[in-house]
Amino acid sequence: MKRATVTAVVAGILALSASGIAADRTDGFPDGGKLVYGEYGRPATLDPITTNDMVGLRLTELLFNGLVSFSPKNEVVPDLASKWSVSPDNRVYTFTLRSDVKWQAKSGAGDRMVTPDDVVGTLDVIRHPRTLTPLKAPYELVADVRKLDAQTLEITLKRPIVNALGRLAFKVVPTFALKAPDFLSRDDPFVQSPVGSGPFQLSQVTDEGDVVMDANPSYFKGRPHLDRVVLKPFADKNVLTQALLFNSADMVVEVNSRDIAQIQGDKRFNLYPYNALSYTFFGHNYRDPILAKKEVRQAIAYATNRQEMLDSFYSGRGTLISGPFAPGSWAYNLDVKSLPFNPARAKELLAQAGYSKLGADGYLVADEGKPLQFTLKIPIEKENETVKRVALAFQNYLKQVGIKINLEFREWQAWKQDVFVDHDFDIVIASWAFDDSADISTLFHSGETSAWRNNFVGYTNPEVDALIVEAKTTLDREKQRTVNQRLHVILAEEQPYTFLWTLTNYAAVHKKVRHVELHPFKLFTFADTWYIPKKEQ
Amino acid sequence: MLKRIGKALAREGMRTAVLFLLVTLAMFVLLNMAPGDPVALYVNVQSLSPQEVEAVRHELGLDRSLPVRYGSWLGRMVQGDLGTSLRSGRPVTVELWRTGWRTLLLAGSAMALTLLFAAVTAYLAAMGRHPVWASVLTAFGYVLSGLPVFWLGYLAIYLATTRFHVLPLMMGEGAASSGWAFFFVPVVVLGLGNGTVSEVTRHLRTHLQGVLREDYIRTARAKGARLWRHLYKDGFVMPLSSLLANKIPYVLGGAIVVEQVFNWPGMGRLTWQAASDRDYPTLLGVTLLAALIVRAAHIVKEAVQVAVNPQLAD
Repeated sequence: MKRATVTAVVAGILALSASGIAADRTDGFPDGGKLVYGEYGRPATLDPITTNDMVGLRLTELLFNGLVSFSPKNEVVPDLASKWSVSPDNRVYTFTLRSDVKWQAKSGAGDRMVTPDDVVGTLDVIRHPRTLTPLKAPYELVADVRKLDAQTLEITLKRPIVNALGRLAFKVVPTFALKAPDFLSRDDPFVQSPVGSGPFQLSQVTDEGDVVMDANPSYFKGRPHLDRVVLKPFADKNVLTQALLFNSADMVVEVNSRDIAQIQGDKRFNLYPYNALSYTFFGHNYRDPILAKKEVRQAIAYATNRQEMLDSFYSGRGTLISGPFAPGSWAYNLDVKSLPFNPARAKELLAQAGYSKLGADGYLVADEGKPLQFTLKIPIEKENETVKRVALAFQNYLKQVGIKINLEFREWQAWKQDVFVDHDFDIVIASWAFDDSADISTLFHSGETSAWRNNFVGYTNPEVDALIVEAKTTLDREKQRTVNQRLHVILAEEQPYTFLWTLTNYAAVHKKVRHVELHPFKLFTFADTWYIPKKEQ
Repeated sequence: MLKRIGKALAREGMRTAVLFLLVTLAMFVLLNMAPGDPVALYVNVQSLSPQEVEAVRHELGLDRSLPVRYGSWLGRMVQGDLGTSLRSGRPVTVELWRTGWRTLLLAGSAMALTLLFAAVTAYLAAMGRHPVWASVLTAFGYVLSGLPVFWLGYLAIYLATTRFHVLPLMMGEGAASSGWAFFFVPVVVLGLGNGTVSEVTRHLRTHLQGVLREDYIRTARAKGARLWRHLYKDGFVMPLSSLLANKIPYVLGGAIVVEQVFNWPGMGRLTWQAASDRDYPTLLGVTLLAALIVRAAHIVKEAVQVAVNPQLAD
């Protein structure tokens, strides 16, 4: 499924710092034990800059720190920076670093401390033209970064933005450990054997691809309780569940939806729900003259029994949505109700659009006597069994109202080419994953319809354009919310997408692991406080 | 004699070189005709401007023309440098070595199992002394061959772990791996599934029946000599060596699926990943190695057959 971005940029409250945490962990929980977690797919690289997938994003939570981090409630909290201040024009952020953070011992750098030079260096590496990183676009907002003295540094933004602090949570790397000090490429050994400042340090990557990490004894928040954490990559989601059930893994980061019931019934495991800010939809191509008619798109929504699909294919583990934001988002408008399943209404709307004559084949007759038909392009990526069922159900629902859906399955990259570059599709099924900025500007702005841009459906509406610009430029959070809620109303009415649902993801963790708290999508942000009781280690 | 061997080697060498050239060229062209490119491995293409995407392509050397890229790959390949994987940044030779031996182990063991099963079944069937056993084994082989290998894989995992609790599931850190056990199920699945075993059995049985009708076998029988001594060369070595060489591509293909299902960190998974990433240096490396294996098997087959029957050398 599509991911708009894997870069974690999460909003927070612009609170000033809390005091630093003592270097000794005083929670009284025991140290020791090992946690093996199963991931679907192996990370291509292990450093926080070149990595471009969720597996790598989660892994770097264990190995690295940022200037700021997030609390379980997703508020911005101090991490490498102990405090910060913001200039009155909201453009200049001054950070004071903690003075007690060391790079992990294996860096070969002895007892080197994390300094402002490392932070400046990291941002320079991210922005260097030879560094190929998904972080480049998000950090274009930085105009300048410079060290002020041995403990402080200053980041200047090009323009003030809401949630700037949350967006400065990039992971800091020891640039002195890179092969070339000013950029990072994949042939740099650092990408496969990185050194960080985080609670765990890389021990080795086995030939099987297991990433073995050991506790960092001199972690500045205190040694993590677990002795060892191992990332175990799997090539098959079905096998992942089996591995958990047969003790080859203690944790699975995302349980295959059809295995949830089985794991729920197993006393050895706890399931932890987490809501990624993402949703699934059918996107309609406005370049098709029939789909460009609002009645037709609305009819498709009325004809589709979304609740039934959610219940039968995902055991109801999710929420139907009515508009372009994820329901967990602050921008979501709860007053907009999602369109009910109503085939009769769908037929009325189709008749209004001029399609009321049934052909001999049971489908409505469109222009030139052909049946009213669309091609649904479905990406084949990894495990797509359930997506296949959704597509087949959709085909069947629309048949009931006289629309013929032809299914076309395309290999993932070929699908992207068709959808994003050639715009060669009628309807697609896809998902967006968001960061908390709830920024839908690239999805529906009329300036974003060319090749590789996110508005691949070709939606254009001057009112929406104006609202999008307003939401982006205002610094007033309340105003932003009001504007986004208005956008929600319009897009729910216009139905450029048939909005489907947000799924609840579940991580399964063995009960021996205690004090488990998960960040919504980075998961391991608080793993330093997890522990396993002595007798269960 | 030496001159003849030298000539034969030179001829095979030339053929192999031409084969490599054609195979890699075909792979290269196909890869570049396929939609999508490896840039997506590095950045989120949608969040960049076309100029920025072009800069990334330039950095990766993807903006050069196809002949130039293939030529430079070929030039370095001749010197033993297969380039670096676009995904991991590691040299392709390292990636191939890391995964290749595991695939050879899996595929080799699976083939040995195929041949063993086929040889026993075909022998029993051709001799006609244990018709019940022969029928049971033949039927078993046919049914297994008829099942899709990925489905058989899931079935085997289910039976071995859930039903009988006899086998751990996977190798490596954290797994309750007990030596050879983890190895057993995938080898059985690839060896007896994958559609090859019934074909090999049938071929071998027919061949064996033919040989058994030969005059020299009848003579041997009449003399009361041990049949096996007269039978094994023509009845087993000859057909088996050619079957083996012919089936290697199928077994390597099947290994891709089996490795995926059993989380076996071999070349099949490497190939799968590289194909979805459009990681063309890795794919070219894999292609080259696969061609090398197939070609080597062919040459070994020729050598064996000539050793058995020198007349074939002409």
